[in-house]
Amino acid sequence: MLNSLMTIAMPLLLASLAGLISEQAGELNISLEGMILLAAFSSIFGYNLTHSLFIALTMGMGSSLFLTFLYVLFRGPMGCDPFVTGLGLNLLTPSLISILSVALFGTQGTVRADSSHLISANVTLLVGMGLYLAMVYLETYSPFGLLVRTTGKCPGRVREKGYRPETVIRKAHFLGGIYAGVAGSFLSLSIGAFVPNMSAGKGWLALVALYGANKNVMALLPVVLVFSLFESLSHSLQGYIGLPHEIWNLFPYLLSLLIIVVINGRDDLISKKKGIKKTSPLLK
Amino acid sequence: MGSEYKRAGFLMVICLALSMILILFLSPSPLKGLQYFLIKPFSSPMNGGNTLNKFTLLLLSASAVLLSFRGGEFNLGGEGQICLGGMVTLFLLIPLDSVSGFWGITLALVLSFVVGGLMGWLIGFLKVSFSVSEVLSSYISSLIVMGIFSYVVSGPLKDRESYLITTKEIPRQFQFETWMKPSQLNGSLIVALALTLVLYLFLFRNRIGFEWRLGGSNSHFAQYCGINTGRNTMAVLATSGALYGLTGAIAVMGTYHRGLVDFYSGYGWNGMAVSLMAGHNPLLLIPSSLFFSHLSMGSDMLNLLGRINIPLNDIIVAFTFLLVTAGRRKRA
Repeated sequence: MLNSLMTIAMPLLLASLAGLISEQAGELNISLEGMILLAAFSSIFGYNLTHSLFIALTMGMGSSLFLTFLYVLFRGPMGCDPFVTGLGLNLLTPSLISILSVALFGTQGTVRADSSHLISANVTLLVGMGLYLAMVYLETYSPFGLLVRTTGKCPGRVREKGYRPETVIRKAHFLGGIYAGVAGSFLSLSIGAFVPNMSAGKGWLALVALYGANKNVMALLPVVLVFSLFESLSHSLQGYIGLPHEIWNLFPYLLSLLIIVVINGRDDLISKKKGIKKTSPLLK
Repeated sequence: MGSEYKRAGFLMVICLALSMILILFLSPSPLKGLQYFLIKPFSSPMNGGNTLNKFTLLLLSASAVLLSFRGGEFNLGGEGQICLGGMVTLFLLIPLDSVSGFWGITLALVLSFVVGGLMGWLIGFLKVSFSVSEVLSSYISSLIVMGIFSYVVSGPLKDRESYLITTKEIPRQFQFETWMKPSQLNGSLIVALALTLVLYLFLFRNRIGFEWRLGGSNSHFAQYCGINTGRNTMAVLATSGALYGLTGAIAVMGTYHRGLVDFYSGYGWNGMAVSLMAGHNPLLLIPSSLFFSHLSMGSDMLNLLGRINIPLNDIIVAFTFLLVTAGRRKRA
């Protein structure tokens, strides 16, 4: 039970951290879903090629960094809209994977790693929590975190200080790319196989968790744990209560919507009492 | 105005060139592949009719997404709302054997319109009252609806005699009459074209449409002008959801006649690409839908006849998303 909770929670936690850092820099990267999927695929490919977990993880990170590079390229020199570009990358990855999968493994379906259960839940927990604490430190206490947060809130001030906001945003995206890559690698390495569409909305759930936690690193951990607890409960309760599994699988989505409604609604109430006018949370 | 036309034309040329390059590199027999891709979609009455039918559905879903984009809302739940419209139609029409065709069809259209609209309204309501971003709520709610549909199709409504995962066919009198016989083309083509025209008139020749567009391009200014932007947000999302629901009903009654498990897949994102390529201009929707329906049909033909399997349609749609906003950086 605890093991399954951790294997569900850690990828989600890392993915929402990836979203968090880009959001703090003022430009939410919504291509998390695509990054997770591509990383999951390429870490299985890396493992089957070299039989080394290290290489597998590196391949995962490298592939999601490649997507981040594409994002930055389209965003920077070509001046595309961040939101539409992110959607485009999300759409591109499944087809990219299906072409690569046919070329490398000769199948469009599930790709098995040469041995199953490559990393245990303990390793996932250890690495995940390590990366989480690193992000807490980076966000809250390091000069880079301060720079990133200031860029999100007031780019002009950053420019006055002699930094380029574009560069800061780019760095934040690349850092997020690393986190999303590890998230994707964990997803596929923990079951020892890549299944098409295995991310199944995880990138979007991570964004919901991010907004549920009100973009606060500290609050992110409990929110993600609640999401994951519910998902693992819905897996284990399937045997006892006679609801079809398709319906059970929907509960995490439903719960995530409820959480975000409750938390955002509470915030609204508080800011209304204080007379603060809030701007729309995403994009605008 | 002129630059929109130029941009759309330029994008089409790029996308066409890109797909040709992909075919040349990935197909075992490139020339045959190009022929399948470029000519097959219009080579026979059947293929031509099917392409035009795809055009109809794309045009409908693209007008839904265009409306939400013009109103400044990102309704990403298109597939879920199409699915909902289709599901409502199936639940309504499969048991109705004795009702006449006209009443059944009207009832299904109205009901799917209303239910899709309710789903859109709910997303808008969550945005206005709880400031839940419509991007997340629309996508997640559409995942929920699609999950329910996949349960319905494989469980309660499943046709036990069919080897596909599908529901029973809806009764004969509710299926739209097809025009070019073996193909699936039907009267909804006229509906879609008329709807596009209405949409144009509504957005550009009507006070409410003007208010919606104003709220979409600058909501602070709209608020300053005394426009109730909260109410408009809900109205925009509700109308967009309603149009999606209508698309679902038309897809079920006109094209599929049954609830195939993934009947909605593609229309949401492809419709969005159509609208983006058209620069959210209702009149440009028509050439741009024609382009994407040809692309989708050509890609099907290529995979069917060319003995290769590349998701050409999806790749080009993704590249449209990536390229369409190039050079349009907003001044902050």
